[in-house]
Amino acid sequence: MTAVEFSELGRNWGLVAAAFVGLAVAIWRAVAADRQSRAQRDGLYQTRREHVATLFSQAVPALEDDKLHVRLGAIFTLREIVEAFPDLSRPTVDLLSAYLASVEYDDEIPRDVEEIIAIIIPKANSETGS
Amino acid sequence: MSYQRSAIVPTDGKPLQLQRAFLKHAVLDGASLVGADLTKANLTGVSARRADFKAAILNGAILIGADLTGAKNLTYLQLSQAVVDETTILPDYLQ
Repeated sequence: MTAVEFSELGRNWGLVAAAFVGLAVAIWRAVAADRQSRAQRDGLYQTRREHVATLFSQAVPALEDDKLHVRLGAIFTLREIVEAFPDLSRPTVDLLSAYLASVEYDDEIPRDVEEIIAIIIPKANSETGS
Repeated sequence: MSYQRSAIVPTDGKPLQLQRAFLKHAVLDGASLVGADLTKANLTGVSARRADFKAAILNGAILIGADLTGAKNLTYLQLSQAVVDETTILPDYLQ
């Protein structure tokens, strides 16, 4: 092997090694970026979840408020919570159902009760056309 | 007047628990009460036309003055456990 050939061989092996190192670095950076984005996503979800837990716990006493608009606000808040977190649908429906067991009125159905009925009692399929 | 969005359907698929619910004069026309537990619920004067009562539990439910015209899947057994009187309007197949 001549000196030139030896030099070319060395250069080629060097290029191959550099390519492997570059690939390894690229993979490592991709994995690190994925981990970081997952951690950010989890953190964001956790923050939203904590915020929702706060909203939920604030809505419960608000349902007992004397003022209709406060009660309605609580009901709408609970509705929105379920939109964002469907896994909270059962506790929300149970909470609103329990509320219906705690109210009493004479003849005219209160607006908040009407709203809860619309939220928790679905229409039959034949009524929705689905 | 209501929020006019579809009702929340719990993801666990379990029926409504409306024991002792006070629903006097509520409008439940076309409602799906399939499997709902309405034990001792006050349904006095409700309008539940075309509502679906399949497997609903009506033990002690007060249906005085209720309009059940066209209600679906209501049985004699369910009604025998509820509180009804001559002012309760029953679906044709139960009259």
